[in-house]
Amino acid sequence: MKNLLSMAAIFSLSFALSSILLLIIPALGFSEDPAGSTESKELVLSQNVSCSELIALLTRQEQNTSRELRLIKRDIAALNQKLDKPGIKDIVAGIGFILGLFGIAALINSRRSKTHSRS
Amino acid sequence: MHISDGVLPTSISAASFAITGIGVALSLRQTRQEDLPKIAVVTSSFFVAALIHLPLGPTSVHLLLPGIVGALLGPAAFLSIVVGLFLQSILFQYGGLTALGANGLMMGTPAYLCGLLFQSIRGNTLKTNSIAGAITGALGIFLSAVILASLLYLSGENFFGVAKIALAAHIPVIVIEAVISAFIISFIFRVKPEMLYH
Repeated sequence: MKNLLSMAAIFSLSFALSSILLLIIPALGFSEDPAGSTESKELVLSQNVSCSELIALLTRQEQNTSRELRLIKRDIAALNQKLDKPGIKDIVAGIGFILGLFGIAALINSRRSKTHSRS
Repeated sequence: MHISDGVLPTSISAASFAITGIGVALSLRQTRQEDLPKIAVVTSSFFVAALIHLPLGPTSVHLLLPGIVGALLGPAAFLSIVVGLFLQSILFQYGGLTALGANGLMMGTPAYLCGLLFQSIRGNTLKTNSIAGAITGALGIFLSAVILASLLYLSGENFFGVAKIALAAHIPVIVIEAVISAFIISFIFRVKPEMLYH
């Protein structure tokens, strides 16, 4: 009888232990497995390295692009300023306009004076 | 010195257009037929002179030539300047079409007055002519700055503040203009004195 009781106690104890273990294991995740834990650590480490490298690479690239963009923007501004300035065409056109206008005025004037002198 | 579009209120633009119109009409009535080619050439020079930018410190200034235009054309100077400004505004985007009246008033009136002044003080010798040229050249810019300040004052700015800024910005132009006007007038007086308005 005593034997039976002790066996039952051991059984229940082991059941409780196993149930506790079963509850704990999923919470611990893969860390329960020693080989898996080192692998994941390495993975995390390598990910960290590549991440920092990637960030450095990206920042370098961004710096390069922003520098080039700045250059292009400066070029565009210079071009705009150049476009705003009147070119030789505008100057010649203006002089032609003026001479033409006064030519017309002279023509009208001379016609008027001719008709005046005739009458 | 150009007033841009939209700086002056509509009423002042319209009023200055009216005054400029009257000025052009008066100037046209006093224009002699035989002067037309000369007016054309002087107008072209005035038109192009605004493009000659002289670098000066951080900014650049350009010639305005109202004194010389007045001395050469007399009363026709107003007409000449308005035509030149019109073409500058449509071809170079200096000033603007709605501000043409104000710009014509601002540049044309000094030219007209400088012409009258030059007539009265030029004398007969090379020296007096050169001095008269320098005075009219300087006075033309000065009067333009004053008219600019008064136009801006009428549109609600502080007169003395604007006048000070306009004058300070144009002091180098006044000096350069005086020298160039004296040089050109003395040259014309020696080479072809009948070209000066008489």
